Amino acid sequence: MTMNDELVAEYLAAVDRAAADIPPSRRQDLLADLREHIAAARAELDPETEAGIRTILDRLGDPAVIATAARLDLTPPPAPPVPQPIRPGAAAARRGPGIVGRILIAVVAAFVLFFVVCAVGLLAYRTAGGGPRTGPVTVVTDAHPPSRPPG
Amino acid sequence: MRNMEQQPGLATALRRGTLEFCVLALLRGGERYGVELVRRLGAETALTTSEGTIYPMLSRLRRAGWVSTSWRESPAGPPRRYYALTHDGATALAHFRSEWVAFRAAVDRIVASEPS
Repeated sequence: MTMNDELVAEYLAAVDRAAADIPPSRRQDLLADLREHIAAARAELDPETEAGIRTILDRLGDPAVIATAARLDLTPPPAPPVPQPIRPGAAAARRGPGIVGRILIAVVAAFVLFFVVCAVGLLAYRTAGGGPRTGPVTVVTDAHPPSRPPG
Repeated sequence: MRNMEQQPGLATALRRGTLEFCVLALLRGGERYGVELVRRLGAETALTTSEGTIYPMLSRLRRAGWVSTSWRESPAGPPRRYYALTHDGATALAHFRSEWVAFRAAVDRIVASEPS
């Protein structure tokens, strides 16, 4: 490890320590961004000098201040909603029928099930109760088709 | 003394909710690579404290989907991450612009005018 590499590693470790209370995924994001910035800025140094590295790190700023900025970004300011008149309607249209539709299907299914159970029960009762009473049995069989789920 | 203490907090409060739209505005002319973007903003001392403080905001803009990024090989050095404005980002920026113009005009009318 060269002196310059050490400077960079020390700086990144200081940011890591200062941002220790930030959720790991965000902290890793931040460190990756800073590492990438330093690598790109180093590539522009010709020749690479210690002073050059120090300037890059100075411009990035105090690790504590960067950590504060990252902390503030955890609770972003209420971003103005993206105003797209078509969107909220479209989103509601997409979401609305989803929930309403599901409830409707459940209600219809419950009714269908109820009628089927009633019809079967009635059929069983009539069949067991009286042999000659064919009339009501026919009615019950007629009641079957509407009780089938539509479509 | 009290004023001196309030100044940094005031700058932070003013930047919050504003700076991210400056990033979006810088991308209107086309994509830019991260370091270029950060240096451009970092040069505006009224807007930023240091270059490093811009990265958490860039990360938030990526997550919000207001910018998209792509990696490209660079002529010298490591691959570069380029930032581009997305459709959502452009819409958000347009909304901010109209709000900002009205906001700035109202503040100027009251704050920047001579007492009558």
